[in-house]
Formats: sequence, C-alpha cells, structure tokens
Amino acid sequence: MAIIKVEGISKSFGKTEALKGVDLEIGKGEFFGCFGPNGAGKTTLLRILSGQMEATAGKATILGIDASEKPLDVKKVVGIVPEVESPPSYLTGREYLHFVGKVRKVDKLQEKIDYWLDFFELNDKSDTISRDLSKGMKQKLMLASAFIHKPKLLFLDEPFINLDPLYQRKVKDYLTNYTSNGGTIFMCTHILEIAEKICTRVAIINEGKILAKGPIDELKQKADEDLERVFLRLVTES
Amino acid sequence: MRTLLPLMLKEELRFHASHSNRYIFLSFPVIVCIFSLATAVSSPRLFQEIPAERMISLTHVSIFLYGMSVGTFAFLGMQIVERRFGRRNFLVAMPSLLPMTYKKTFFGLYLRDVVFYVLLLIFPLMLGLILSIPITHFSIISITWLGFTLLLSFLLGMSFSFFMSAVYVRSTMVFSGLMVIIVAALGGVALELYEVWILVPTIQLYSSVEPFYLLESLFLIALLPLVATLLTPERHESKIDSYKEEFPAFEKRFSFFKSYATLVAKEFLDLKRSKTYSKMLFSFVVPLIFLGVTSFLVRFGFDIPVGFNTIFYAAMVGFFGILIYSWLNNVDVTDYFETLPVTVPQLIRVRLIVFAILTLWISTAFVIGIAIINGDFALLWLALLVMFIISMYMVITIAYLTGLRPNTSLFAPDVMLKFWALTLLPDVCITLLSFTLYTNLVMSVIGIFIVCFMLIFASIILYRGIDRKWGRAEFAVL
Repeated sequence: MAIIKVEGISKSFGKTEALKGVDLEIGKGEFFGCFGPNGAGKTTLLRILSGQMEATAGKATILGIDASEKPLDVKKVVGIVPEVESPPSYLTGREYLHFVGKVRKVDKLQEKIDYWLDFFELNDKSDTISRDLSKGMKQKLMLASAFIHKPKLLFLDEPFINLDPLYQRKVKDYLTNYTSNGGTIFMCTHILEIAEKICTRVAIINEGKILAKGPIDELKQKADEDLERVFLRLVTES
Repeated sequence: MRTLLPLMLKEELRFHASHSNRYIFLSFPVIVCIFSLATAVSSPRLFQEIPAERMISLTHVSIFLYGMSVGTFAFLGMQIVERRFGRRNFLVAMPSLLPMTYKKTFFGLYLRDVVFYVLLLIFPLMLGLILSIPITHFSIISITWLGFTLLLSFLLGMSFSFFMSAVYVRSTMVFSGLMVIIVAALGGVALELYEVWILVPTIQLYSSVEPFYLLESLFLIALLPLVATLLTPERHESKIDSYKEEFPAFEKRFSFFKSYATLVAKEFLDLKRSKTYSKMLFSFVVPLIFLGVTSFLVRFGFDIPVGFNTIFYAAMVGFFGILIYSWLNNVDVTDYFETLPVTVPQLIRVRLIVFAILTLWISTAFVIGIAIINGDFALLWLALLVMFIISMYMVITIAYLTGLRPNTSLFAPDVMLKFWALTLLPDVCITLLSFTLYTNLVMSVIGIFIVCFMLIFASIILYRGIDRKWGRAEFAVL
C-alpha cells in the first residue's frame, strides 16, 4: 500500500493557481524529495498532504486516511516540521516538548523529552523560553517535536535550514536511519547537495506542476547530467 | 513622514482587506453611516428616557474609552518588532534594517490610526447625523460642533492610551504608579471633589464652548503622543530571563478541564510570561472603573432621575468582555498548532474557558460594587444573572464570528453587521427593560428572563456552530 497517494491535487488562492493537478505515489521506507524554485508550490503541496490545508480539487490519501476528509487524523499519525521555525514564544524547550507530548498522548514522555533535548544538546537552554532562542535552536526544537512520537511518516519543509553543519550531519544520519527502519519522509528543500545524497526518489515541481519524478540516478542517467543541471534545465524549459 | 505615512496607510488598508476583500472592507464606513443615521432618527425616543445633555456626555466618555482601546501603539509596535505576527512583517519594524528611528515609525503608527479611524469611523458617524437633519431637524452647527468635540474626545483617548502604553514599555513600575494615580483621580470624581470633565476636558468644551477647554484639549492631544514618542526606545533587545519549569504544575492545576487541561495550562502560562495580565487589567478594569464613576455621578453627582440601575450596568459589562477575548488572541502566534492534532475550534473553546476564568470574578465584583454604590441590592441576584449570561453570550458571539482573529475580522463589514445585529438588540432590550423595573417590576423581570433565556439558547447554538464555521480554518496567518 502506498503511504502517500496523490490524485489530481489542485489548489487555488483566488485567481492564483498554486497547484495544477498533481499526481504522486510514495511507498513505505522512501525518502522523497520535492524540489522547485521559489513559489513553485512545494510548501502548498506539503501543507495539503499533512492536513494543514484543504485542496481545491483532487484527493490525497495519507497512510490510508483521506487528508481532506480527516486532516486531524492525519496530523495524529505524522510528524511535521514547518517552513518557518515557530515554537510558542513563552514556553521553554522542555515545556514545549512536554506540551507536544501531552497533545499527542506520548507514553514515557519524560524519557523521550530527555532523549531529544540531549540529542539536540538543548539541555543548556532548557530554562530559556523559545522567544529567546536562536533560529537554529528553534529549528532543533521543531525537529524534536516532530520526532518525539515516532511517527511512521515525516513531512519536512526545509529541515536543514538554520542548522550548523554538525547538526545537518546529525539530522541527516537520523533521517537515513529512520527510513532504513521503515519510516517514510516527504521533504521539500532547496539544498540539492543534501537531497542528492539522502533522497531515494525526487520530484521537480514548477508553477504548480510536476515536471519530472523518479529515482535520482534515473533522472541523471536519462539526461547524462548532475541533479543541479537537470533541475535548472527543467525549470528553465517549463 | 511624508513617505512613511501614506505607505503605512496603504499597508493597513491591505492588511484589513486581506480578511475580507478591498470593496467589502471599504463598505465599512457606509455601514457606520447608516447605523449613525438610524440612531439619530430614533434619538427623540431615547431623549425621553435620558436627557440629551447627559446622553451627549456619555457619548463623549464612550468615544474617549474607544480611543483608549485602540491607542496602545507602544504595545502594538513592540509586538510587531518582536515578530509576533508570524510570517507578516510591517513597516514599523523597519528601523531594524534601515537608517530610521523607532520613534518615527511608532509615531507613524499613531498618525496612521488617527487618519484611519477618523476616515472610517468618525466622519461616517457625523455624516449619518447630518443626513438625519431633514427628519430630526438638528442644527447643522450643533452637529458639526458635536462632531468636532467627539473627534477631540477620541483623539484624547488615543493619545492617553499611546502615552500609557509607552510608559509601560519603559517601566512597569512607573506604569503601576500612574495607574494608582488614575484610580485615585477617578475616586476624586466619585467623591465629588471635582467634575469628570477635569479628566476629560472635551466634555466641558462641548457644553461651555470656551476657548480655554479647546486649548487644554488640543494641548493634551499634542503633548501625550509627543511624550509617548520620546519615550519609545530605540533598542528592542529583550533581556533573556531564565524560567523554572512550570508547565506540568499549571497542567495539574487545570486538570479538571480534562482533555482541555494541556491547552488551558499553556494559555495561562503564556499570559503570565508575556505579562499580558497587566495589559488586560488596563483595558478591562479601567473602563469598568469609569463606568462605576459614571454610575455614581448619574445617581448622586448630577442627581439625574434616569433609570440606570445595577441591571443596566450588568448588561454593559458584557461588552467590555470582548476586549479580553481580543487580548487572548493577541499574546502569541499560533502557527505551530498547524503541526499538531489540534483544531481551531478547540483553541477557540480553550480561550472561552480562559476568558470565563479571568473575567467573571472581576465582573461579579464590579456588579456588586455598583449595587453597593447605588444601594440597589434588591435585584442584585438578577443583575448577576444578567451579567453572567450577557458576558458569555457576547464572547461566544465574537468567538463564533471572528474565530482567533477578533481584532482584524471585526473590520469586515459583513462580520460587523452580524455582530451588531446579534449583540445590540438583546442589549437594548435588557436596557429598556431595566428602565421600567421600578414602574412595572413583574413585567420587567419576566421580560428580562425571556431575553436571558433566548440568549442562553442563542449561546448554545453559536457555541455548537463554532465547529462548523471554523472546523477547516487554518492557524497560520499567511
């Protein structure tokens, strides 16, 4: 069974068509990357699939749940890292993870909070409210809050942004390990180098349409180019 | 400022229009004008109950309070600078990037809202009164004079609020000290040591038409924003404090709310750490104190034989509750809820719970206080009942109509019309019934009971409707 199944998804904001009939299918254990220039529709697609936004037309099924019909059920079983790091301003990192854990009804919560604060080395800042954290620390907190309930599917919008190279590496390793153990990832990013190394399959999107999709090696072999050149050529031609 | 102000006006117009659309938004002044016209036409009936002079004084006080409620520019500016509007950014925050001062942009906020509210509210209000002349035969001169003094009352309220919020941003200690002085000053009015126009000179200006009061009003309107602007800090570096872990304790404290306990606890922790309590106190308790002093004056100071009794004031309190709901939705961004299995209706309900916990005891104390001032205990039980029902009805109505964005959504004319229709009618009914309490007790009490019963019924319908109306709404302000 496909973990994510997208059939003819369209989204309009007034007269602007952000997505135009997108079809997609992502299987278990895949690390799927979605690339595209600014305003291509990547974040809109991610928000629709993760139950944050309703599509204008089409159907998205996530882990067997209709994302339009039951967005809350989708949010219960997935982890989401949004484009903008925005943990609640007046909770400390520890309190935010406690809050997320309670909302998600996570068992052995204290243990998991300790693990993730330790993983991201946020213990030193555990008594600082999120408003006073650096962008990188806020991003770490958003990542921890998406991982804490061990979801089967992760939606990540630019997860490496604001992270230093050390944590980019650490998160990359965690995500690779996560998919090896059967987890599935849908990721939007601009950083082609990272995506080229960790994604198993990608889609290139522009002006709301998918221009190409498939395994990275396949896309590269077809045109005998590296991923960056494939990306630039497709986007320029579209 | 010549470049900045037009851009700020454009920005504000686009911001508000984004909640409905440009044309619907621009029909707002038309609705205000029609409402004003309707009020003017029905005023002869109103003047039979309340003397015209007293009604005009109360209108000045009301518009002064309204000016106060929209004039907290130093708070507003700080919120924008601290990026508490999610992904939105505004011109007021530009001094962080451009060679300009916060003093200039904060003063720009003040000027922007003066233009904005005058064009959108005060002018249409006056136009409505002028259009009523063929029916009411009001004198054009007296209407123009009223319009001018009302405008000054509004500007005075805005300027005072700007000043107080600037003081708060600089020093909460000084702010608290000023609050004590204000309460003492209001107490002086209550004790008849001086008249209320000593504090709001525009009231006296209207009736006396003396240049001294005009100069005094203009002086205050110019001085307060000037001082507020000078007080605006150029550096907005919030100091980093340490906080002990309080969330689990808060959650335990609110555990009787069961599935809502986690969310209610978070709201209260937000209020505590963002120091919103004191801002709420300012915007809720000060108008109540004003109302209390007015009550005292009407009863004893002016010795006016109008039927203002405890039930009338109990009904009025409900309106002020709307301010608290606005504050609750102005503490922090809610974008992160998008990533969690929480819906907008759930958060609206949580804020209704927080509203009830925060305000009902203050409102109860106020109504009891009014009963003591007026020696009006016989119907205190009914006044408390009216206060509870109207407060909850008002806040449920505003929550139903505006969701998590009461400040901006109320400027959408369709929302505003619904709000007026849903809130004004019951309040007018209760007010009129309260006037007849001492002439026809039984019928009035029966009437009040019927209205209260209908409000409970309407509250249940609207409360249940929150799910349908806001079930698919998004948290993020895009």
